[in-house]
Amino acid sequence: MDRTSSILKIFTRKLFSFILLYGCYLISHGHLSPGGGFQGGVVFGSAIILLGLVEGVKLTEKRFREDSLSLTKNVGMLVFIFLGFVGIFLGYYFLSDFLPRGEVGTVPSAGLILLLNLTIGFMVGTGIAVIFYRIVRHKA
Amino acid sequence: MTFHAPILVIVVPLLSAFLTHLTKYTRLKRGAEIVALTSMIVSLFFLLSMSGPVFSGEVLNYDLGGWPPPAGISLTVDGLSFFFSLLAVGVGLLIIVYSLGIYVYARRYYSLLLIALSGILGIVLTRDIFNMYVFFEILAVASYILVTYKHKTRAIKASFKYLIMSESAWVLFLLAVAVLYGLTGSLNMDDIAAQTPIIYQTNPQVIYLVFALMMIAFGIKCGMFPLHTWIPEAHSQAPTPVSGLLSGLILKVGLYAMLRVFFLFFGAPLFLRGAGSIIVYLGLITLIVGACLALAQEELKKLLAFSSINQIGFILIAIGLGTRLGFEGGLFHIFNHALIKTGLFFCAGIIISQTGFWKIGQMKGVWRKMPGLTAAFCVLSLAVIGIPPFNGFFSKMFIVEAVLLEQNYFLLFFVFFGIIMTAAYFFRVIQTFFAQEDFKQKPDFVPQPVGPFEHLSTYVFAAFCLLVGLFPGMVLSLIHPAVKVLLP
Amino acid sequence: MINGVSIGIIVVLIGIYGILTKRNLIKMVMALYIMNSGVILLFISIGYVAGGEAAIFESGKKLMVDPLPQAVMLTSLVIGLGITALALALVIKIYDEYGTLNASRILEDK
Repeated sequence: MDRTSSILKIFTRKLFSFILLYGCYLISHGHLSPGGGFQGGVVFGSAIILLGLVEGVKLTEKRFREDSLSLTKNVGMLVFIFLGFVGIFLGYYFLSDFLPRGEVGTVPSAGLILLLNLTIGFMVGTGIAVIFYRIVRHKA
Repeated sequence: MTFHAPILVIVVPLLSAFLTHLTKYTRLKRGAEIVALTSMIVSLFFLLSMSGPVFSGEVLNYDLGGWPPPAGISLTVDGLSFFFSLLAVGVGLLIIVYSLGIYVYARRYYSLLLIALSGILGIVLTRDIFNMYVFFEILAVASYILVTYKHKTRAIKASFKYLIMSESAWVLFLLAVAVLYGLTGSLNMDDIAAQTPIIYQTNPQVIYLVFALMMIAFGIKCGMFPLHTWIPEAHSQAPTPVSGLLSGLILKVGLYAMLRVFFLFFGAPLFLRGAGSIIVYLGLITLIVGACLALAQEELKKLLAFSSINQIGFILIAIGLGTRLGFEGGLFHIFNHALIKTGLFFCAGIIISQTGFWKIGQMKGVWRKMPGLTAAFCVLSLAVIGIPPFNGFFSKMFIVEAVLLEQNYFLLFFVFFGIIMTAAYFFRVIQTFFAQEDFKQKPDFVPQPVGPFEHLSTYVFAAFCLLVGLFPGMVLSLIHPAVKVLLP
Repeated sequence: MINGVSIGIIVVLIGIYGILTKRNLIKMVMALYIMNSGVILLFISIGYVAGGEAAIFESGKKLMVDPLPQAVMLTSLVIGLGITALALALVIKIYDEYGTLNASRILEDK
């Protein structure tokens, strides 16, 4: 792990932010093209895994700390359930679609699904990164 | 609020499971336990608020998100679902009370326990077959992790075996759901129930395939022979409250799913006769295997696990008969066995933590050190054997009556054989507890401090056994709406 | 006739064969995941409509593939991911303790 070639390191550092951006694009355009919460979340998580594999987990840990990732995961689940409850407060059922619909084909046209996609995307991404940290840091 | 109660019963434990992680940032030392206890009490409150309409026979329907089925998922509360969810919330509450006394259980344990309980509630309340699969997986994942909570090597081996067996079964279940979807175009149980008779007329082999695949999945979850081999290791190596959860609730949820699937295929009475007798004879083999292997066990918890397999055999025989008395006996025994077996596991847990021994032969003369607990163990074992005035008597009596009405004397012989064997292996344990000599404790063993919570929950279970035995009418009034769902 | 349904069934059968016969723990986990993928492929192929387009609503589309199996299988994929991660973590712990990944040698070490 110490002798990773410099081509790999330079490319990964340059590409990392684009992979994160691609993940966010997949999450937010889930209703317009193939994608959605899970898929974008997995790309998001794999970006962090790629950085961890190339740079070493210690350096990646400094930028993406495990407790903040874990906190994001838990808060994400609470936000999801809270969004469900907003449906109840407004008089409809749990998880009903209460946001106004825009025009077909643009991003804000999905209603509640967009917010749920964002939540799930971040949950899945941070969850995968936390699993990776735990497995790599396991000592026999 | 009664209107929204079905989804709130499921969501409140799930929400609190993630809230317990946030108690890291507050200054409460026992924040996780407070959150867990509160959430189960709130869930119980919501469940009881639905009891009025359910008892008067109406069925509460709730479509998630306002989408009507088959496009959306719907939750429905009828007598059967209400019975099981009340059992789940009640036993779950007592399991949390038991865990309160053991300080080593941290946030992760409570959040996993709450996820498992919300998974159980989701299984019994949903009306969409894929949603049932998802909740079963939620429950299963939480239980795999809970079994290995104490990082013992044998527990990890047991959990891996449980994982591989259970997951391959659920993949086969998904295969059955795929076949059903391809034929009917809907994932909603009522829609499938409406279309099954038509399919059975033209194409019975497909129904047989779906039935076989689903029986494998539910058989692994409930411990039907020959799919019970994960139970002894997993139930005995898990920490004690988790053993109670596994034996008391998870086995029963597999039986609930089996009853629901019967309901799917109700439109084909010929088929039902054949399916029922398969379940009866598999239950018979399960009963014999459980009884004989339980008699041969040295470890206390493994004996209790095999005893669970034994009782599940009784319940399978009762359910497979398909008569009204059979369903009543089976459901009553499910209720009783959940209470009794969880109480027995709690007793065993306290005894093991106080003496440090796992094997029965080493636990001689326990009654002198722990008289109250031995009395509770005796009460619970008498209940499970089926001796009046405890609750086991009524459920076993219903089962025997149901078998008698069918005039199947071969089955009757084995039912009595099962009861006698249950008495045999439990009396062996009680005899060791009352032995003349004392157990020799290992010199460097420090008994773990056992607080009031463990004793409280164990005595509550024993008291419930006596109470239900003296007034069985309370539980029967719960069972009648459930049986009305199964046999309209 | 080679379409998604038959290939899905063949993959599931390969997975079942793997779980039943293989002795290496990692191969068992791989076979489980293969079985899962087979069922997912089967389910999605059942929802295929000949000549249909992708299931995203745009003006001017006439025939669409059935979107329900796709949504349902997304969930199933994530469940499979979680289960495989958990199974591999358990295998790591077992390997720490026993030093071997052979199931028969681990089982006899009661």
